[in-house]
Amino acid sequence: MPLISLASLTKRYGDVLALDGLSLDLEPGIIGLVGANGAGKSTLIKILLGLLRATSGEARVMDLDVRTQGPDIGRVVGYMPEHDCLPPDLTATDLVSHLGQMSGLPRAAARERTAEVLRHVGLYEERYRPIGTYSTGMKQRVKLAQALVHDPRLLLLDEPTNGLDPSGRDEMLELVRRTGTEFGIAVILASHLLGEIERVCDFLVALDAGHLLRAAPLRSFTERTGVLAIEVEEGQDRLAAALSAQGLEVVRDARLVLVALTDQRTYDTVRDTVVDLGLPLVRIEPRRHSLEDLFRDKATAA
Amino acid sequence: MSEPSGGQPVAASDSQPTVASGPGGSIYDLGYQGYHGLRMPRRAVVAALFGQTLRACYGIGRGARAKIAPFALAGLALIPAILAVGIAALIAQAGPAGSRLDSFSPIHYYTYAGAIAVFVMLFCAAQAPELFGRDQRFGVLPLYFSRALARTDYAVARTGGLMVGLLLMVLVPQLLLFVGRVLNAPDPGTGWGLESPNLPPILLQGLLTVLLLGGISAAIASHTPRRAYATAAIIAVFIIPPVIVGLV
Repeated sequence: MPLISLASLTKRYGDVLALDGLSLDLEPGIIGLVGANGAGKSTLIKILLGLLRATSGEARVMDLDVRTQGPDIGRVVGYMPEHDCLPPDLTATDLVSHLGQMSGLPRAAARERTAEVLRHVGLYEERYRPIGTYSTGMKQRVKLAQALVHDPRLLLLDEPTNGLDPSGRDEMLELVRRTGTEFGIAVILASHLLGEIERVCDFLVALDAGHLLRAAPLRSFTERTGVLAIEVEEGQDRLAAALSAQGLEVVRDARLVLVALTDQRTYDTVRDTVVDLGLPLVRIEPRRHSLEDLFRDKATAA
Repeated sequence: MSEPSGGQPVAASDSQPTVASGPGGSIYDLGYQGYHGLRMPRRAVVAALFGQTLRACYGIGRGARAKIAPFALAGLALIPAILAVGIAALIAQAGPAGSRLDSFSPIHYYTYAGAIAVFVMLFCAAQAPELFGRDQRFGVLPLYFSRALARTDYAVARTGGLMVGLLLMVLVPQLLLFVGRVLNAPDPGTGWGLESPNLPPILLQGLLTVLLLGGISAAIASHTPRRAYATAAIIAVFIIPPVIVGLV
């Protein structure tokens, strides 16, 4: 049973297609949902939660239909919205335990879980203060805590690091990573920052203007875009020509010659070619392409 | 919750606290615990939201300031009943002449709803926006609708909470009046015999009042997240039609 399965899911706002026939099956894991603002990430999450209705197509979460089984999905899913969602006059304890009850926990259990989960996100004495007095970082933690209070099987996090400073970002991402890896809760993390996804996720879904750009394990992205950068003081053209003559994919980039890294033999070929041509070599460096290239390539292709 | 979360192997193997530090302080993670206890059915969730709404009607579970308006208004609605019970006690001591005195008393079951109508309307204007606008104002609704209840469940629980809260405010004074009159009769048996025919109309009138005023104010309050607008609109709707009727 897949965690999430979408079948030609479409969402239209007037003339704008927010999601354009998305079909996809996702297995449990830490899944990054990446795309520019307006790519359809939030729309997809809200449809999965039953907060929005799809225009057409089908979506199932843990084999539950989002159109008809919303409350059942609500029991096993935790949602951290992107926007502000905390009443300032309530304390974190009161809010989180009330929301725990709303997810189906008995009253006493909700209070107990609230204390545990607020501790898990790093809130201690503050939890008895009204949320209005909290910093942005603390508010984000309360938002994560309310998503975790009922021990969900799936967490849907919409831009969880919004508004955080760099150290707050690091701590939030670390919390998300630990929650996903150590406690076996599947996570879908929506972000427009590829760096965040790269650090936390093991599977990546890339959306662009409502289309599925790619869905694959994160490893495959970095493997396939592996590149060897060779810097020589002169003779870049000769080197590039010699390497492509040997069947390698070669790109010139200013002083650098970039070679697609297919396997370990590529290193030998490059070394031997440089030696044969007698070029003054500065360095050979495997360049782990970041996910940004995924989008840059797409942009140049378009 | 017969079995708390103790038996979770993941948590047990992870009992070593990990520390993440940053300039803002440190996070000590004592480990996340799963939950394997009881989970309530959907109607229990709706009942919990109804209970929370009923308490919030009177500011219970909120700060001290949230209690001032509802308790003051409910208290004002209670004063005529307390006075009337006192009058009934005096009348009882006056003996046979009492029945004539009773007819001079301005407070009767049939005048009660009119006497406290202003307080009930102000209660609606003060509390309905609190119950229906807050969640919109602070963006909390998505947190409810992504949980174990549907939108209609939310509406039913909130509206029901407001109506029952209003019903308490309307009925408690009249029931106090009723009990006072029964006990002030020469003996409770005859008192009950004399007063009990009044009960069904009291209940029916209370119910109708609450359905009308509660329904109107819930409908208005759920249309705006702005508290002041909702309060003004509810007062306007309650006050303007009678004025127009008076002019015509």
